[in-house]
Amino acid sequence: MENNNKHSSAASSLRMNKKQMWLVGIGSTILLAIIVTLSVLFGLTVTDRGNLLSDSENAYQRSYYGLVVNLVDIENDLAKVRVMTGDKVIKDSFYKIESNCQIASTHLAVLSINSSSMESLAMFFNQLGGYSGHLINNLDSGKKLTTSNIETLTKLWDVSKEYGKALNGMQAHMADGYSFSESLGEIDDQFGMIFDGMNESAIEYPSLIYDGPFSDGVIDRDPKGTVGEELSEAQARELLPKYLQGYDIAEVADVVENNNRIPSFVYSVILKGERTVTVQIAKKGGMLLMLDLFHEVYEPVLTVEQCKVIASQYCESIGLKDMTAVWVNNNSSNVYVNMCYEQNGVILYPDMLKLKISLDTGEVIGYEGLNYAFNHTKRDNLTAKVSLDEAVLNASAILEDIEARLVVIPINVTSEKLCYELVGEFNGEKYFVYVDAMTGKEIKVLRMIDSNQGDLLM
Amino acid sequence: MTKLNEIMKVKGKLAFVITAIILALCITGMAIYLPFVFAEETEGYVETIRSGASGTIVKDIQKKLNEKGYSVGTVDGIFGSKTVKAVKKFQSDNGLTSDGIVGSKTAQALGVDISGGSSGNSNYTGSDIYLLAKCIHAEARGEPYIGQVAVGSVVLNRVKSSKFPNSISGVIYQPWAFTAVHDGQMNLEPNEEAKRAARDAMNGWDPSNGCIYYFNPVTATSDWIWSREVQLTIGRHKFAI
Repeated sequence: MENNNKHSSAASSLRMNKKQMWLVGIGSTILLAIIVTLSVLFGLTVTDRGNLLSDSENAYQRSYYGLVVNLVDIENDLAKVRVMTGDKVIKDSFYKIESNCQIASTHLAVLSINSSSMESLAMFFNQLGGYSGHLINNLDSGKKLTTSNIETLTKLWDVSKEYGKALNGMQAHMADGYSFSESLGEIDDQFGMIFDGMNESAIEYPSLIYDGPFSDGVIDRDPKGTVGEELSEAQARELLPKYLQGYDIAEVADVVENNNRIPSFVYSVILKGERTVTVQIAKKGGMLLMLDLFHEVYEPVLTVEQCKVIASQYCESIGLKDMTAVWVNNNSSNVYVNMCYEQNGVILYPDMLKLKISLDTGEVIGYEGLNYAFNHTKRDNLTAKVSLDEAVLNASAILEDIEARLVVIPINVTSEKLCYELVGEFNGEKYFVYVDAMTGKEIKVLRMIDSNQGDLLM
Repeated sequence: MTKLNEIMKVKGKLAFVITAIILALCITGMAIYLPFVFAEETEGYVETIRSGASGTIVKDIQKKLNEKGYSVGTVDGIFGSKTVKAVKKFQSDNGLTSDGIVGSKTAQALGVDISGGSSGNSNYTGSDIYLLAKCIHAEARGEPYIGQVAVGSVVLNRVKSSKFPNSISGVIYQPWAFTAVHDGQMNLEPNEEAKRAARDAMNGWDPSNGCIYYFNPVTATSDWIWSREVQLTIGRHKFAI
């Protein structure tokens, strides 16, 4: 009995073991299935993520090393150009500096983070590139490098050395395992910090005023067009009905004073029918600087010709005389009409303002007069030294059906030139050729990329 | 003993069922997930053109409709009621959903390319306006119209500024410059208001008055941005130099 019991308990324990083993088997299968599934899925994700991370890290590093090489080349050329005497070699060096600056800017844009020190480096490249282009132009027109040019170049060389040192400092961090893709944009990012550290050391960065879009002179220029008494806010407000003629003003919802660029008052005006229009009026003289309104157009009824008339009438009514429409762009809901000041039959492109006319109601739903405010003034010398025939002869003989007129075009924001504007066709495409009316030299060629962008009015 | 056996039997069955369920779940999970892992991202954005739209694409659609005998009247590039009618008729005749909206299928049936990519012509200005409209839409949708134009003008002021990249794409895709680019909202299709705002900004309208920064004071995470000189506030954005 005992034995039997023993036997049966042994047998049952054996049976239990079998069941347990079976359970263990099932358990492990489940576990295995989970592990396999997870490892496959997770493994794939990790590999993918890993590849992506190393791809982006590689892209960052390529930009970093590219930036270092560009800066070394720039530093080298800045040093050499000061001892050069031949125009050709000097010019070649400036071309190299100019192109290295452009490439360096692109590399920096990939690495850049929100930091003022990064912006200084971007500014260094843009301005040095622009300054080089300006010096090339000077050399082209027979001028030599001046002592002051050399002094500026020496200062820029010093700055380039400082940036070079800072950039090289990154290599130690990279050797310690620094990763751009993981650190860029973080507050304590070492790449941002090498430049922040630099700002503390005194580098004398020269103020660069030259003929170019990134010149410091562009920021500091004074508006020539805004003349007259300084208006109080109340006086400026009285001008609203004049600028918003044809509109039913419900109320002036807000006004802010803005002293950037051209000091002005910016009004937010609610019109009857629940539309809001923004109107910016210069403090000095009360010139209209901007007007803008969103107006949904469902049934356009007006023609471009009608819009041109509306634009001219509007200019007259706000006191702007002698404005001529030079360009129209119809985008089916509104028409942009660009108007220029015309003095003695010469079109002054720098004095351009733009109007936006709604194609259903014929309302002036937009006005942009910043360039006009900055540039408008009576010009003294608008007499050409070169005749129109000569200009046409000098221009490309390949253009057909040439139409021509005398215009003033803006050059690099801060200056301008009296030119012949020759418009002709080649292979069915329109080209605009600008010939200097003083020297007869061709200075600019534009091509109409897409006629949908607008039409020039001659 | 028997009880134990029964329990074991039940447990065994239970375990079997559980295993089966888990295995099935795993397989289903993999079946669903794996295609995502291996799938190539299919880029290829297709617009829908509907009532109120205008421009060259609408002109193309109208030309094709007229050619095929679905009269839209004058080809004026404006998707008005006549065009809607013609599209609906064309759709119902061709076994397409008759909704008056030209999507990829209707466009294909008409033989018109409405994809957002370049349409053969090298049209830099066009793609720049589109890119700017996408940025405006992602960054400032829901803001007052003038605030949307202002966001566009900040991008363009950066292009002009010496401190930033010198192209629209360079400025927009500059890392950490715009939140909506960073988090992918940039890929949303811009609405009509954003497109109009982009056009205004490209034509020189600058309600930001020369600003090169803007931020939402509620969500701004960078301490540094507060050091900028704020010029004006439009909607929820502060614009600064």
